[in-house]
Amino acid sequence: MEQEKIIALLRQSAFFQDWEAADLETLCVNCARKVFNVGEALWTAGEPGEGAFILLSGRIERTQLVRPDGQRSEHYGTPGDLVSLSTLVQPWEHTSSGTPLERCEVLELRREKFMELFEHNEVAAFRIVDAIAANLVEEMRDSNRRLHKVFGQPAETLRMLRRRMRENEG
Amino acid sequence: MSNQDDVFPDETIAGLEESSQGAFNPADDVSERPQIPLEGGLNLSVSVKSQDSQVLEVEHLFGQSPIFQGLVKEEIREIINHAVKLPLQAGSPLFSQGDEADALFIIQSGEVQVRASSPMGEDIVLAVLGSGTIVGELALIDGGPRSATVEALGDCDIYRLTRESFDALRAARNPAAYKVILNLASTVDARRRQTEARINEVFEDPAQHIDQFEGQVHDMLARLRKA
Repeated sequence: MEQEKIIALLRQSAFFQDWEAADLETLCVNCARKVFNVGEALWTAGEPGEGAFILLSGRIERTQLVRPDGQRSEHYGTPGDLVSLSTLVQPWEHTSSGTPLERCEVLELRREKFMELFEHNEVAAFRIVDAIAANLVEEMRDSNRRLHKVFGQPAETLRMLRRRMRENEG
Repeated sequence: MSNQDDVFPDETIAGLEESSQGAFNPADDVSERPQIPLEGGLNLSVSVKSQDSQVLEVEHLFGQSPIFQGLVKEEIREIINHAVKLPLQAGSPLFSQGDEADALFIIQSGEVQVRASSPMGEDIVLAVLGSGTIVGELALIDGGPRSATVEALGDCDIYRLTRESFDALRAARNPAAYKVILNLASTVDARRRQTEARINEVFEDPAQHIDQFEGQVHDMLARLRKA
């Protein structure tokens, strides 16, 4: 896919629509274009994260076990959707898995490239930092909500633990 | 991770001991010192310490904090120029539980007490924090209600950096502001992972934790009976 087409695709998303063309070009030339087919994981829970993905086409499912809620799955299908952003900050282990629901094309932004952009004060990197911060705040809120649910409602937690013990015994 | 972070992880408290590696050493350059604004139009007293030594102290205070790691001295000064010194008298609240979080605070001198109401309505002292500690840094990237009350135990000098002034730096694509956000993102993600680990621990081995929750439920019932 040509860069012009990629930029046009990215501009369809709310996040990229008001980016300067030069910043989008900077981002594109620092990403690797990759294709994933059904059955090929983009990333797997437990593996160290090496970078983020920007969806160009197709659909991605992100699955994660979140307690006490259970298995959670989120779908990404809009060009310009950003996934696995937090691995740009640190080589954290993935806590979720990302798999294509159909053949998909993505831009992969590896952490080293992102840090290079950041160190060169590239606006593209700063805008991605904005997205990282917003995402992490949302995830922190979600974790806090579940922490308060578990430790702030001991009777409900006790009920869940007893049920789990019964299941384990059965 | 400190206890207060465990109980109220959205109220962020970063201790001096967390990191001083690579800290900016202000002693090597005294040029272009930032002006230190005081809230309420107060002026720094020059009778006790010179302006230079006070500025060096402030630069050191900011420079050793984990969230300002990686900032060069000019960038630290830029951040300081957007902060305001806030003298706080003993017993005065810095903020109260439920207040909108709109600023981070760096304690320069004195001690503050962090306390919060438990779900059962009890007032719990979570921590006493001293010089060099940062309180509520998440307020720089997110609002929401404060999860604890912080008040001065003795007379304190505290720096306040509001989200509004920080956002002005961010809107100008200031590299210093973005370094701070990236450091904060690292802190937030580490804390989130610790929170997740704490939750997962309970459900991965229920037998190890069932007594703890049974005890809490019995305590709650006993209190209800008394009431």
